[in-house]
Amino acid sequence: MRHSNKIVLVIVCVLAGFTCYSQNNTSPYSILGIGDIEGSYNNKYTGMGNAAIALRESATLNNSNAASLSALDDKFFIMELSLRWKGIVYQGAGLKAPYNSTADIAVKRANIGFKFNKKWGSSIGLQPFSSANYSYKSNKNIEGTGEYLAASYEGTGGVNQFYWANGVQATKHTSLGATASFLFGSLNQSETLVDNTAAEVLTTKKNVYLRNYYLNFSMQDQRQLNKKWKMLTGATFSPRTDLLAETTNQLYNSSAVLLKEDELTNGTFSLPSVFNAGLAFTKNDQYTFTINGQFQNWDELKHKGVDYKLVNSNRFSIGFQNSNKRKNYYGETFEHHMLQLGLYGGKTYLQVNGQDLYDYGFSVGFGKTLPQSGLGIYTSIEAGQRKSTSLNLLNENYLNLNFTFSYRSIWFVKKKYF
Amino acid sequence: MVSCDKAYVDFGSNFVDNSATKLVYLDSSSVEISTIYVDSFATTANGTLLCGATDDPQFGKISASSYFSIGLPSSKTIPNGSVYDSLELILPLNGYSYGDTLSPFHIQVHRLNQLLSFPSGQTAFYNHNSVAYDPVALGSRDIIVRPNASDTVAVKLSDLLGTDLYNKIITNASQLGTAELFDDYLKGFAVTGNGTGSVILGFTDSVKLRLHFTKPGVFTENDFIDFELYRNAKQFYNVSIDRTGSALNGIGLTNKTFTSASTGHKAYGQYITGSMIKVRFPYLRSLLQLPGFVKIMKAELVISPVANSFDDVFPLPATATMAGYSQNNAIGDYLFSYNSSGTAELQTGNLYVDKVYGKSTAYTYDVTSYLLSQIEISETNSNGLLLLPDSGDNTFDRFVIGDQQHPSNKIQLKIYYASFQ
Repeated sequence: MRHSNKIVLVIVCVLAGFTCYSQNNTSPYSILGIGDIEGSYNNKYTGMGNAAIALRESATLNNSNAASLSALDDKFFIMELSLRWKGIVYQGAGLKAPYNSTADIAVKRANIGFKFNKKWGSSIGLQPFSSANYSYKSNKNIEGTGEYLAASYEGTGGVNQFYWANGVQATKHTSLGATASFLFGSLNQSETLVDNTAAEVLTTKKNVYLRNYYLNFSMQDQRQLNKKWKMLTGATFSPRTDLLAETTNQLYNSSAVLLKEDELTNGTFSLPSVFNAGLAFTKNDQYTFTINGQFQNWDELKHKGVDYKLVNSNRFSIGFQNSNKRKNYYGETFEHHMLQLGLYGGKTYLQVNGQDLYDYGFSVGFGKTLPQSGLGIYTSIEAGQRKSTSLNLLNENYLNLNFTFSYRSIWFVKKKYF
Repeated sequence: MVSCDKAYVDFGSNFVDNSATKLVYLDSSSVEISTIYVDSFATTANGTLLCGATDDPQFGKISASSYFSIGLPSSKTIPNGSVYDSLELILPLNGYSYGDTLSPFHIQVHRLNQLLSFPSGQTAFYNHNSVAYDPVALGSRDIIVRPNASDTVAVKLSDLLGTDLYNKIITNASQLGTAELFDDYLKGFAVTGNGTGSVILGFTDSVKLRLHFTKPGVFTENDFIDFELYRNAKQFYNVSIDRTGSALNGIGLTNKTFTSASTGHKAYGQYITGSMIKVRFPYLRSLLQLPGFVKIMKAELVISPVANSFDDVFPLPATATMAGYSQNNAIGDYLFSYNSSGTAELQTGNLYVDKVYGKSTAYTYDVTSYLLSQIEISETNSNGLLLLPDSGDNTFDRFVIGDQQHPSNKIQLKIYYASFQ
């Protein structure tokens, strides 16, 4: 391995370590369920509205579909690291500047991909699966009365996904993929109640430790329609999975003295079965038009909380990419730069006070490859809203700035002796 | 890498799943009320004169008298040839009244027989003290007074005293040589209701003894000399009460406490006449035995005045305070609350008047801080809270409240506590 490769590998590994601890978007809605479940793949195709299910390229890790790994260049490995800055402006009754906006930056993905042989590509990586990060004031009901006492809530943590994805060229046109993940992490909620003297507080710390294996199965099919046009299809499926949830509660006073704690209780939090399907057409390997659909079957879980429930969600996205390719010194074709556009929208899995929340927006992407160094950088902007049709709910206007850094180099070359 | 700015948004009550810590409401905690006797309190030099009498259907027949002395005027020159006209005592109203202001106010002015001096062993006059005065009144008056519209009450005094004073000024008598000599001559005055009338009025201590005379000339001209209050430190008032026939008949030094059960499940408080209401929470520490009990988060005491114990003549005070009470019969710290800016404010009961049914009329106090302090005391004690007038000792503010067994106006302790389970 070349010296520069080692440096990049070290950087990627260090940053990957941060992934486990980094905070995601600061969203009040992340108090629900297991936090905000990541809806973006945070990869090269984010600028195409994340419509990546059908896409496969030789020099890019497409973590949305493991079957795409069979398309990676033989004898090369690819390391990718994604960062995302997210800014949110909230809309809702009683919200005024400067308390109506928030921003953060976090590592969203770190992974490495390589080919075992001509037909078998593989990738391992770490990425946030969900995240909770909220801080808000509310009122806590006094049981049996219509009265409330002021309370404040803070939440952190999330579920991380460590995965191993494999893609195999099954036939001339078709590839199959499978991703085995281990989901792990904790959700930490702090509830602070202030007594009427405003001098003493009670803080209840609830920690939920979640873990289990998570599977995803995928396929891609690629057909040359004619000399110019190529059609790609893809699909993924994740079966319902029950995460083991261990919950502990501890009660502290103003002096941070532990007053009481309960025994650890075991439960589960179920993740629904998820279906993704995509269709793409490329012309002359330059222009790509793609469309994706996603369905999450939350209704089967019947997950319901106070004033909210988790319901079936769907998402549709379309994307376009103009990939400008050139030949390098050795006559090999590489992507010099690319431009992307995307639109997306759909119903989220959150239903609050009987109101569905929708998420929609557009995206723009730009990427450039430096063939001499093996580096590539892909940037994209997602601007959207998560909102309901009701003005009574908190709405979010968000802007995501995504940065994916890619490093590609020779993985393994057999020495030939003459 | 992990930096973030959290927006502190107000989410309403949505999504707050019941955590391990619950807030529980309890309104069955025991509250005891009683009437306790107020021995006495100083009424000296407080700037207030009280005078009159009334018959309070709840508390008894109440009389108020005030005592003060008069000093020399700044100028005591009367032109030669002037003629004495009259002498009157002018008392400025302070706007306070107790009783029926539609009936005549009776006032008598008496001359003291002795100088105002504290009784032996006292450094102040108390509400039960009095000073001997000439039983023959120097003057009296019956007048319908509107306390908030009228400025003063004037009583014409004896011409015998008036001419004597006039002549002493004319002759520059020795009694007018110094303030002490004049005080020794005049002694002072007592103003009383003489037990008659239906209203007690409050006055400021800016009283004036006004000597009227007519100056000589082609056109005669009226003039006067004012004699003002002397030795403010010795001015005081006396309040006496005849409780015969009332629920509190018999309360006194030998029988200091009347339980509410002994007075028809009611307690009576009128500090100025010697009674106040004590509220106790005898089984507060039993909260500690409740499953999962952590601490009191909020506590409210709702005090319900007994219906028909107040009316337009004897109204409910708009404000009332509460203070701690310990075993030594002393009034302790008053209850304060904190406003939104964190400033401590004296709690005055936030009186709600149920004008429709009258059942919900109540004073409400935040007793969170008080109960938090009391629940920590493991020793047996008689601590409690006293219901007291907000406007000090100089009013006849009165309360008749029901206990927890009262059929319609029950005192209520609302406790909101945190429970961890």
